[in-house]
Amino acid sequence: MSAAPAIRVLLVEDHELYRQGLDEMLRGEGFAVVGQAGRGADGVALALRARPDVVVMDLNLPGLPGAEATRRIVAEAPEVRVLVLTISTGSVELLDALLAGARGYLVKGAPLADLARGVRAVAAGELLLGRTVADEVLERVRRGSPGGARPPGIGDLSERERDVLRLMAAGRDNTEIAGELQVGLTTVKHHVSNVLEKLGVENRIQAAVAAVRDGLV
Amino acid sequence: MTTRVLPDFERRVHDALTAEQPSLRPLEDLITDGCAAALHLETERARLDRRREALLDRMGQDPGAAREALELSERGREDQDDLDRVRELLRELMHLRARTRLRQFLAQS
Repeated sequence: MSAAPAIRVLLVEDHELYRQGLDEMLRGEGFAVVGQAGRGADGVALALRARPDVVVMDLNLPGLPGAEATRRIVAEAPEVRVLVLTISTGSVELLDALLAGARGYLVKGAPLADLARGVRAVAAGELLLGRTVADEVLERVRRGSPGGARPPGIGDLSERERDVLRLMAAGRDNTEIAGELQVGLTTVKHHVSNVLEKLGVENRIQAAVAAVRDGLV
Repeated sequence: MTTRVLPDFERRVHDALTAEQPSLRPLEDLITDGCAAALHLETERARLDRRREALLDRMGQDPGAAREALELSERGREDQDDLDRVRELLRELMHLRARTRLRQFLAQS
């Protein structure tokens, strides 16, 4: 039996010492570090060229900020998963990055095992969101949605749409959802579209945040 | 680590903690320095653990393996002590950062 291929990771972090530490740690844990960048724009270019499984992205980068770099990577290469690095969870920049499509965040001071587990989880399609941060992201989405006096919520979804949302929040793509629910791809696309519309959100990550916030997952 | 990075980091943390009005950005850089030091220490400890386990497997055949494994254990303990100290300093810096952010917020509002 052959071993699974190493998870390919790109590091975008301007603090050189920390970036080298991450590189060393990830290699020691069996990851393949395919590149490093110290600036946001360089990180975007490298990500689009190397197409890693995971980009580990700092938020406070010189030039192009981490949130904007995340948005550009996700727009051009949605299969590349971005995991944000932050000093603490209470920042506007973190919310910006999650709304831009990051799959979750890691706190820089976290123990090695948590960092490695986080990268593996995101590579496997999971979302790394704490409940408090999920609440904040959703609050931002809600404030940004036009005219909605009543906040959109899980209660507006049909039972089938909840099943679909649960699987979306677990990181499944449409094909996988179709397989698990034993329905056609077109049906899944229809449900996903309804979920996004009813929740008043723009993308899957925001829908997943709502699922976390409302305790569906 | 004990003889080089940690004393320097401790001195810089002390300077930050005793500064009259610390600024946020240098403080965050210092926190990231501490995170990098912690990451380095943990990675080194993990490497030593892996090496020690490999030596333990060979102890029956290699008389030097036990001695080397003991030395690695001692180095691992030193790294752990340094790591505990770095994490303690990081906690203090995080508290300082929270206070600094609050002060800046109040000054702006």
